[in-house]
Parts: sequence; C-alpha cells; structure tokens
Amino acid sequence: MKTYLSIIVVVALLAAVPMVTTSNVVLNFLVTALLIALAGQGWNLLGGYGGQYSFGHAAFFGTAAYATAILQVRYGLNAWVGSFIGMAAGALVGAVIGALTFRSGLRGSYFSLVTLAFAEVLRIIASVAPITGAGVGTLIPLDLHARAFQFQSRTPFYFIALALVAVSLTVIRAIENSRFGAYLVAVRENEDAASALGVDAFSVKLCAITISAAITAAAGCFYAQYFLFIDAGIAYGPWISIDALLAPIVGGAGTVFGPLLGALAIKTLGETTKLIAADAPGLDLMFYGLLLVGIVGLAPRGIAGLSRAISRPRRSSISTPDGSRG
Amino acid sequence: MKIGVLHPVSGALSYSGQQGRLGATMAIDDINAAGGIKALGGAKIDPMLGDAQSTPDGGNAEVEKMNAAGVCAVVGGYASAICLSATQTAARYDLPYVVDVGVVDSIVTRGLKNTFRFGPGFGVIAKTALENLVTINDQAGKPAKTVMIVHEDSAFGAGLAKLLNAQLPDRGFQVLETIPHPTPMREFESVVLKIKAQNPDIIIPANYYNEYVLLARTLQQQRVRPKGIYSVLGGAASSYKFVKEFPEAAKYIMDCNHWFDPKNPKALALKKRVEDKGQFYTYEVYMNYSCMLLLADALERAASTDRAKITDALATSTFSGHLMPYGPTKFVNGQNQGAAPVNTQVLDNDIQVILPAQFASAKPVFPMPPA
Repeated sequence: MKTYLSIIVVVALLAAVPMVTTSNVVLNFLVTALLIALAGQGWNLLGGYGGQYSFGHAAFFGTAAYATAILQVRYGLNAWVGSFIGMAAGALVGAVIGALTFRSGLRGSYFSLVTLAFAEVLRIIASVAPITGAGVGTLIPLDLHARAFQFQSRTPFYFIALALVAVSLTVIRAIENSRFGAYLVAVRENEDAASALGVDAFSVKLCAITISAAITAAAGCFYAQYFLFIDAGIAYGPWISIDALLAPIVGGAGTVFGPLLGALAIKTLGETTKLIAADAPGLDLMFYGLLLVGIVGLAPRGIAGLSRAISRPRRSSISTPDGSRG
Repeated sequence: MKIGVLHPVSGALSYSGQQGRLGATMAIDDINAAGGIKALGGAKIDPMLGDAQSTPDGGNAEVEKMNAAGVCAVVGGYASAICLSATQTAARYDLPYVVDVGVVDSIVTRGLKNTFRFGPGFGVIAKTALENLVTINDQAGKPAKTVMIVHEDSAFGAGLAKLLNAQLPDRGFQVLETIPHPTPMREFESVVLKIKAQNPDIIIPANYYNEYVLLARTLQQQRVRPKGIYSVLGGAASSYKFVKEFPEAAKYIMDCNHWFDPKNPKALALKKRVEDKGQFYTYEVYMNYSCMLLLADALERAASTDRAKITDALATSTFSGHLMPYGPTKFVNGQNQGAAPVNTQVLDNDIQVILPAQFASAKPVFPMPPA
C-alpha cells in the first residue's frame, strides 16, 4: 500500500479542489491540464520508461477521439460505450504501429520519425475521408445528460478526468514495480544487453506501446466528449504529440508523477505568461517559449528530477530517473 | 458593462484575428464616444479582449474566463471551429454570442438559443457564388467549362469544396480535381504544378489569407494563367492588403465574399479611418464593427444587462445601422436572413463590386486578358 500512498495523497488533494473553488475557469484549466497529463502519461510509459521517443502519439489520441465521435454520430452508439471502443481502437493502432516499427528494428530517431509519419498520414486520411467528415470534422450533437457523457457543469468532467489520471498513475506505478517494468527499463538502458540477458525486447516494447497508446487514447475520448468537435488538425495534429511529450519531459520522464507535474507546470506557465503579456497578441507565447527553454536548461531531468537533485545532491548517475535500478 | 471580444490574435489566424479585434474595438470606441448605452444611463462598454490562439480549446477557455468576469455578451470567434466550441461554451451559461464570421452552417443549426450569426453561412455563400459564376460565364459567351478547386482542409475550406463539388456539375462545369491543403502551408509549388498539368479554365481557391497570397503568387511565378481565378471566400482575394502588396498576382481575381455596402457613407467613412491608421479595410474589420453595433442596438432595446433579455433583443433585432449590404437584420434560428456575399474583382489596383447589380461599381472582366 505504501507504494501507492503518494498517488492517493495527490489524487485526494486534487479531488478537494472543487470544494475550494466552484470557478469554472479554474476547473476548465485543470481539466485541460489533466487531459495533457493523461496523454503525457501514455507517452511516459513508452518514452520515459521504455526509451522509445514517439513523436506521433497523436495517432492514438486522434483515433480514439474519432472512434468515440463517429460511433455516436453515425452509428448512434452510447457515448460511454463509444469511449471504451475508442480506447481499444487507440490501443490497436498502437499495437499495429509497434509491430511494424519494432519488427523492422527501428530505434532512436528513426522510430521517432516513423511515428511522426504515421500520425501525419492519419491526419491526411482523416482530412479527406468521408467517414471522419473530411475537413468539416465531426460535431457531436449537444445532449447535456450524464448518459450521453455530457454535463452541464464542469465538475463531473473534472472528476472523470481526475479518475482517468488516477488510474493511469496507478497503472504506471504497478508497471514500475513489476517484472515487466524492470524489463522495460532494461531495454531503455541497453537493449542489446537486455536481449543478451534473455529479455524479449520486441514483446516488451510491443506491450509498452499498446498500453501507452491506450492511455493516450483515453485522453482522446475525453477530448471528444469535452469539446464535442474534432477535425483532422485537432485529432491528429502535431499539437497533441508535442504536448504529450513535453509534459513528461518537463515534469520528469520515467517518473510516475512527471507527466502530471509537467502538464500543470506548462499550463500554469501558459496562463501566467498570458497575464504578463496582457493584450499584446503572441507575446505570451514568446514568454512561454523563453521560460520553457529556461526550465529545460535548468532541470534537464524535469521537475521531478530537480526536486530529487535538491533533496539528494550528487547521487549516482547510473540509477534510472525514478531512482530504481534497471 | 463588459463585453467579451474574442479573436484568434495569435497562431495561424493571427492576422485575421487582429483585424477582427480592430473592428470590434473601433466600434466600442465609437459607441462609448457617442454616449455609451443610453438605455442604461450612458453605460460605457468595457471590452474584455480574448485570444483564442487559433484553436477551439483556446476559444473555449477564453469564454469561460469571460463568463467568470461577468460579461453580458460575446462577439467574435472568426474561424468556424473556434465558433463551434466558443458558442457551445457560452450556451452553458446562456451567454449571448454574436458570431462575426464563422461560416459553417452547423454553428447556427445546432439549436443553441444564445448564438446569432450576422453574416452569411456556407449554404447561402455557395449558392450565390455558383449563380454569379454562371452569370459571369454566360455573359462572356460561356468560355469556361473546367474547374479546379484548391481549398484548406478544415471546416471552412473543406465544407465549401464539398458543396461546390456537388453543385458545379449541375451547372455545366466539370471539376477536374479538388486539392486540399492544411493551414498553415508554406509552399504551393506542387499544387501549382498539378494545376499547370490539368490546365483548368477556372481555378477556385478557398483558403485563409497567407495561403491564398502564396497560391496566387506561385501561380503568377509559374505563369499559370487560366481564364479566371474565381475564389469563394478567398482569404485574400478581396483584401486591400493583398492588392497593395502584390498587385500583379492580384490582377483580375474575382471573389465571392463578405463585403461592405459601397453605397453606405458610414462604411466609407470607417474605411478612411482604418486606412488613416495605416491598417487595411478587410472584411474582418467591418463585419466585427457591424456585429458590435448590432449588439449595442440590442443592449439599448433590452435596457438591461440580463442575459436572457439581451438574447431576446438580439432575436427580435431589426437593426439596419450596420455597414453591410444586408438590409434590416432578421434572425431566424440565429441566422440573419438578409446576409449575403457579393462578388468583387481586382481591377486597376482596386477592388470593385461586380455583382449584384444594385451594388456594382464595375463590370466583370472575364476571361482574363492575356498577360
């Protein structure tokens, strides 16, 4: 239980937010941050723990978002059921991309580029295929009822997003403590050495990309229900691939809380720079960029790594970012 | 009293967004200078400026903030996807929302009671564009038979391309190819090579400002000279900025687009003021200016900051003091019934209205004379 205590504390603290404030601005801010944290947690499993840097997590996010929306709009399926199928569809895309790339032995930057290409191909297909509504996109009709996974208030959305993040944190913690997690970290540290010791690197990576895709896909389903409109640029656009990798990298890749910390930091940074820049268009984005460069420069291991460096200065550099031995 | 002014002033649509903001804030300055909202004791309008950052979730977050700050209504949105998300968020709070441009028809067909669109939607624009294309072609002795469509691939361009593809064949035009492209897109060489290979009589571009300019310039550089470039909601085709900066590329381009009433002295006076500021008088400016006046008129009649009363006042609006060739405003399910585009053409480094006849300041030049 002790290993999960920190998760319980963090989730309980976040769950208390609606008791402190009823401001929908704050809730909306946190919902979007949790959405990025969830998408980032997916990336974190594959990139942070597995060392496979994907630039194309939009492929999983988008597939899930489209599946959720299309199943409702075109086939009249219930939104909740649609979301589960959406998640499965995202995981399937992950498994297919994983099987193709890992079987071909793509590693490092080649893997990154191929994942980017997959996401782009899907974006282009979605922007012309009739089933996705092509460029017009898919609009989920407004039906503000819980059975349609839509709510008048932001609060239920907040709790659903938080629950999804809580599940993802628990899953990642469980993987971290499992044999599979150890294999994954071993593959990250030295794939050839791991293989020599009997780790089936292909299966480990394939399993990681599938779970990773499912987590990011959950964020896609949530996005579709929250905003009720998706088009090719939103679903498969580079923005989500970037956010999904930026959050864990800023927060601390390969740590359980990295994506959540990173997403909250990035979002807070974005809002703060907006306040500083007031009404000068684009100035906030310049501040944002500068600060981000500063943060990454000062804390190359992310916020989680920075706090560890402060509490335990100059410890072994061989240990993995989360402190456990591969 | 606070009014939300929402535009994508950063990101891919920043130019249009900033032009929209300019129009809206100029209108607010004018309203305030003329004594504010008289029915509310001369209350001044306090604009709350929002940046949608060219994304739907950016628009959504800004509307949340505006609602929390207690605005009485929101004006703007510009891009269709932003309008879809922003109006829906506003609807959660029964916050009246006046859409400035957003042309996708689903913005007003979703049954949101708070949403009003002052300008025309796709359906009307595509229908007018097709009718006018046939008229222009017929008047010239039907020289054009084949068409290629180049459109941006989000809701606006793709929606339009779909409508055109469905209706052009019925009107005697063969669509050789339809080429979608993303926004932003930074080179059009390959698109223009495709056009060159197919050699259509007419090219129909439907994209935002930057891409439109780039496409037109690439066509000029590659010496592609069809019988006509006829855009529908061409991002730049009826923009003074484009005509001034790239007069050669802009020559003879026709466009079916939002346009001010050239016979309205108020519209011409605003044009001069905008140009005196060193800005261009683009459609975002006068549409947002008009939308803000429309809202101010509703506030006068509602004589209240109550959202429901403002919504009722907008729904029953007969406002005619705007700058557009629409006549008195009449909303049916949130859509202004009189809203319609006009056809313009770039002639002698200026933009002239060529259709409809009652607003025309020149006759169409079609086919384009050889270079």
